[in-house]
Amino acid sequence: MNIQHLYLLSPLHTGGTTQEGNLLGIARESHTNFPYIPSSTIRGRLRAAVDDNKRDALFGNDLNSDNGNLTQGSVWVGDGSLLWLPVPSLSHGVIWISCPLLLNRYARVAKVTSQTAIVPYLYNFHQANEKVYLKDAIFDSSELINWDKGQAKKFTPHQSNVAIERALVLPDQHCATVIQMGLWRQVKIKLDQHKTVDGGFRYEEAIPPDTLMYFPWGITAQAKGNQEAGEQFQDLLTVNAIMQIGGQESLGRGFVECF
Amino acid sequence: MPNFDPRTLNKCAFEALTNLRKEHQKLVPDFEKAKKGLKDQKNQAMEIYTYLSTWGLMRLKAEEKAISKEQDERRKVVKSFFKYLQELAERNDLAGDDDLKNFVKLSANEYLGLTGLAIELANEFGFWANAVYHDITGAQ
Repeated sequence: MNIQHLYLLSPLHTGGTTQEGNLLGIARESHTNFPYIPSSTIRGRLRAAVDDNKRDALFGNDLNSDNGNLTQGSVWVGDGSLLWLPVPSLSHGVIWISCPLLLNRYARVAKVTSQTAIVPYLYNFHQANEKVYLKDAIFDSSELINWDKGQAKKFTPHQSNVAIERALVLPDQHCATVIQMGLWRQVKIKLDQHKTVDGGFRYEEAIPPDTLMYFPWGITAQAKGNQEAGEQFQDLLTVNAIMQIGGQESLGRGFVECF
Repeated sequence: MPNFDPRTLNKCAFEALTNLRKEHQKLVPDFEKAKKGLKDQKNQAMEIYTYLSTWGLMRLKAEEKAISKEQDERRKVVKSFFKYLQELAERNDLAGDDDLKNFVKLSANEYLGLTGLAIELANEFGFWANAVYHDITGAQ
């Protein structure tokens, strides 16, 4: 299993099933309710970027191809999962949050071993007697646990120009609440010919820029470890170091840096 | 202890909005005249989720006082929301007129927990608004 990290350069909107009231929600994992990128979204984007002659071999054919039977490709792509999400903080500007559920999932997929157990309230920007403001909540430094910077680094993968400096691990349930409050949300209105608001507000959600996500990928069992396919897919990822995922490309949404 | 059958939140939202609608229609029996108030109720019920997610629980509580007098039906929805939240959270210090100050006293743990519950309840308000006010068109 290989892993590809995605650092969001702009808000990322993946249409979801949530459409309560006046809200256009985003795709969420059914078992955790955390926002995610469906694997088909990533796969489709990469499939469209590959040369015609390699497309069917890597990703399988489509229904319109001459061969009436659908065939499986040599690579599989997993869902994009959250790792760190930025939240505004009065005391620290921006703090990236995550939780044991997301970090342990990452540890399993990325084969990261941690000397210390991932527990709630770990943070890597410890300063004695300094309070940490996170949206409406305030944490006293005595409530937080110092996270060794070397250990924290294993969970904050980065490229030279992208670094997550302030990381805080929240309990799973609070992380879900703060993520909900930290989502990028845009109010949309429709104007009529007199430029007055026609109807009411509508809201659209997106995963905010500067979020760090990742997705696993590998070679399908059918391809039996086809090394060439793996190399071709890796090349494809390298060529698409910045790619666009999800909807609303015309509004500049969904640009991500891959590493 | 409230029964946390998955339908509990549905019931709270449905009950809250149905009662508000009934009360308003009792005050204004002519449906055509009642439409404005019902539309305000529907709009507010749909708005709670995004308002809460964007601005937080304390500011939503402040809305109870901040909403203009002409939009009293909107205020009633917010008041009713806190009444049901208080019931679900088994507290008695959230729904009163002067209870805004109580939110400051909560620990980060309590406040975030309460916000999580409130977001779930607000989600149900947004959903049930469409069912309860199915005959109100032109709303969000």
